[in-house]
Amino acid sequence: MVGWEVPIGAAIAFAGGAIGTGWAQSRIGAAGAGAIAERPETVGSIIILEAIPETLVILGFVVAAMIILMVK
Amino acid sequence: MDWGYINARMRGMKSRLLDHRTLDALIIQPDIDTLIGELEKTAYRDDMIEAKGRYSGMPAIEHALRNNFVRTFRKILAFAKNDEAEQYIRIFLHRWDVQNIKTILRGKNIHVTNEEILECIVPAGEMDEATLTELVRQQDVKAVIDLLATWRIPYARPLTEGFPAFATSSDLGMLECALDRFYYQDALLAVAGTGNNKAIIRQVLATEVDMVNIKTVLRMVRDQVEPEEAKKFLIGGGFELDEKKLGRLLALHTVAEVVSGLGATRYRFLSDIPEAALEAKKISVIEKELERYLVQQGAKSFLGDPLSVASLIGYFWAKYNEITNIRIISRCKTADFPVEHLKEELVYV
Amino acid sequence: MEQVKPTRMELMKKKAQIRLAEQGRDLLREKMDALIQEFFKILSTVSDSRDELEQVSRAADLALLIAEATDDPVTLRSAAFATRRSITVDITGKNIMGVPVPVIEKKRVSKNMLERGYGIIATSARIDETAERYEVELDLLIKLAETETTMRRLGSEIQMNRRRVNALEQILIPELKSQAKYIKNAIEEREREDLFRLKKVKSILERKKKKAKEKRLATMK
Repeated sequence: MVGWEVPIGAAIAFAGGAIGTGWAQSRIGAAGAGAIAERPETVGSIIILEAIPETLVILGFVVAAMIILMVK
Repeated sequence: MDWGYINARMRGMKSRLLDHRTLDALIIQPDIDTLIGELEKTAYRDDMIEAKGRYSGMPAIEHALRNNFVRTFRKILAFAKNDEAEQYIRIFLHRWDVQNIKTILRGKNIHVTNEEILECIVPAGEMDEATLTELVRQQDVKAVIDLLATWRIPYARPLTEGFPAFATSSDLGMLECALDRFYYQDALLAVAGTGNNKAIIRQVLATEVDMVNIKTVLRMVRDQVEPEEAKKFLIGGGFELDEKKLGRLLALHTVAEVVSGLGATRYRFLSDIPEAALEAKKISVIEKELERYLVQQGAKSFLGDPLSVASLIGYFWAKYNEITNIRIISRCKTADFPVEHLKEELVYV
Repeated sequence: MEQVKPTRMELMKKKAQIRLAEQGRDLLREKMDALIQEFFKILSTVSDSRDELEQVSRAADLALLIAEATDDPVTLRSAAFATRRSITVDITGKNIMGVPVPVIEKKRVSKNMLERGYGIIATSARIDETAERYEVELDLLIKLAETETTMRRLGSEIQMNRRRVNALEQILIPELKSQAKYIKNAIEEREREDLFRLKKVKSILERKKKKAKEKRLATMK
């Protein structure tokens, strides 16, 4: 039977990914803001760079979903 | 604030410095007017147009360059809200304060008119134009120093200490020397302590102190000044050359000996200078190499840790160098200076 | 031609004058030769130092240009404040062949680096070298001022001399000579006249004597 451990585990997995993403994005965002301030034409690549850490939170989400769906 | 942000902006600004190709394009301009036209196509556009409204020819370029320089540093100071970054910017800006105080003292010493002194003042440092104007308005050297002391501006200290000697010998050189020494000591003291950034700043400053000391030693040896007398003009806190080593260099007799005496240090590149220049006692050639080294060393900071003050230092030196380069090019355009020699005077980073 | 009395006294006087004038002319010529020699000696040094000055001044301008370009012009002007002071020169005179010429003595224009007055830490050797070049130029300029004045004085002296010699040679001496000649002619003319007159008198006297003799002879017969 599924107990309370499963949602907690899923939450931890998701939270870890989200925090990692947030931390990475803050650094990239700061640097990106600087770069855009000086060179507005780089905005495209900055957005892409900024989006790359999103993969972490998506990974966290997937793992969380897997925990909920697969642990029976 | 975040070093990442500062670093990104510095690098962005650096990318807008003139590259080799732009400089070469400036060099091949036939005269000063086309040079101004070419400068208007670069990052100097706004300053150039503004300066053109008031001046023409060389003075216009001078003013545009100076305005650009001051504006750039004020801009960096505005966004770099970080203790260590600000510290370095201030150290860099204090140069102009020292220079301005010296100009005022020199002017007052020989009683030049106030207008003439004001013309030679660059309010790029921490002391603003109003402060400087008030200083210029003082009667004589003593009054200037007293006013500095009243306002509790730190430069008053070395000046007050040196004043009695100046009053008897009326040798302004010693007073200026005290001021310069204070500048470097003060700067080195400000970055004393632990920390990666402080160490980086310290290293750049110490290299500069070495440069200044080597220049002093060379000039002293060239003019055959007594080592004991010459020691008064040395500054402590060098990177590689301490007082003992410098003392040994001072005891040498010729410029060539000093250069070969530096062979065991990181300044051994000086021995690549052709013998003829050493024989002719052309210190300026050696000096050029030293400056080139200093600028390149400073600009190389860009290769250092991106999350530190290094990129800021790198940008400052690169910008400083660029302004100098443009000034050399434009000056040489006013007097038909052969292009090959002109390129020798430039420093590429 | 001015009126001269055609007397022997006068002729002797004129002859003495001619001799004096010729002597003076020769002396002046000698002096002129010496002056010209002196003049050319100075002329060559003047043109040499003029060339030198030109070179030095070009080098100085170039050094200034580089210094202004590399160090801020404001820094340079500020350094110039520190070094601005007047130089003193001493002007005395000397004589070349009786021509007074100035001798300018400078009181140490070339300074060493510590005496220039600016602090040496924030100034560069470029400024030193620029200052040095200009000091050399100043030295040369002062020297040139001395030699050029000397040359000009000598030149005007030579010109005056030549005029004097010319006056002697072209006007005074010919005039004196022609006067002497005139006197000589007049005296000779007069001598010839005297001779003739004497001869005439003599012949008259002789004729009278002859007549008297004849008369005496006639009465005796």
